[in-house]
Amino acid sequence: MAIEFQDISDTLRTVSISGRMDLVGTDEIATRFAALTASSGRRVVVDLVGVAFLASIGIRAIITNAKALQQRGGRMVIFVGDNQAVYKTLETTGLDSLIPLFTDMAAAQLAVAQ
Amino acid sequence: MAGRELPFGPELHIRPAVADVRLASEWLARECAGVPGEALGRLELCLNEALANVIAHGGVSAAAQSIALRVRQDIGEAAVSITDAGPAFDATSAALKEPAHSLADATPGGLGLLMMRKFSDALTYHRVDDKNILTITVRWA
Repeated sequence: MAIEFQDISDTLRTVSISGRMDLVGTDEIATRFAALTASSGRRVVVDLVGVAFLASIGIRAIITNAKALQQRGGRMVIFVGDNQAVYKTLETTGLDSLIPLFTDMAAAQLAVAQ
Repeated sequence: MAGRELPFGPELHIRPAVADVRLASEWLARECAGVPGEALGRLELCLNEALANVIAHGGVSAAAQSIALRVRQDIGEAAVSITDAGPAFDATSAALKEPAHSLADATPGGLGLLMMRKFSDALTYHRVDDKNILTITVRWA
């Protein structure tokens, strides 16, 4: 598992996760994922392009962090690029109706910054 | 295939522990080498969710015994069966959680069952000798 971030501006951050978001993999990144998305008012694009496998435990982690961020006045969107498997899983579980989902990074950054 | 079913073949026993779930995934990928990626991905996802449920909710009785996994392949379909010693739990009929309408209303949990139902093409459950036997089938054209 790998989790990296890049600050695009003072408020806009991308957090890129890669590997298997199963029980083991999600646990490996949980603390850092929460820490990277926890700032007040921050806008975060979570990049899941490199996620090879997404189980419900991974979706739970995304929901938990998105809720916490929203409660602190921030916002999260998800970028999946051309990762069809992850897109399908997020769509099937209805996550796309809770957290906006983008296949284009520029559109994701624009939407989350508004 | 309607009217007939091949018997289950290769078998794997794992501990009901988080660390063993990847062993199950790797075994499934080896045994289902000829299954198209999209179908195998769905089967692996369902298997992971079923195992996560046993580990999270199986209690003392599930924890005391290994989980038996068996795989079966036929033309255009593959199935994996999961036998655990936990309390009776029927993933095919257990109530699904109401979907949340906003992030503020969303509560974690319940997604595993939804994923198993949506990503499998057939899901069957039997309770035999105080064990749960869940069979997940995926099909492809």
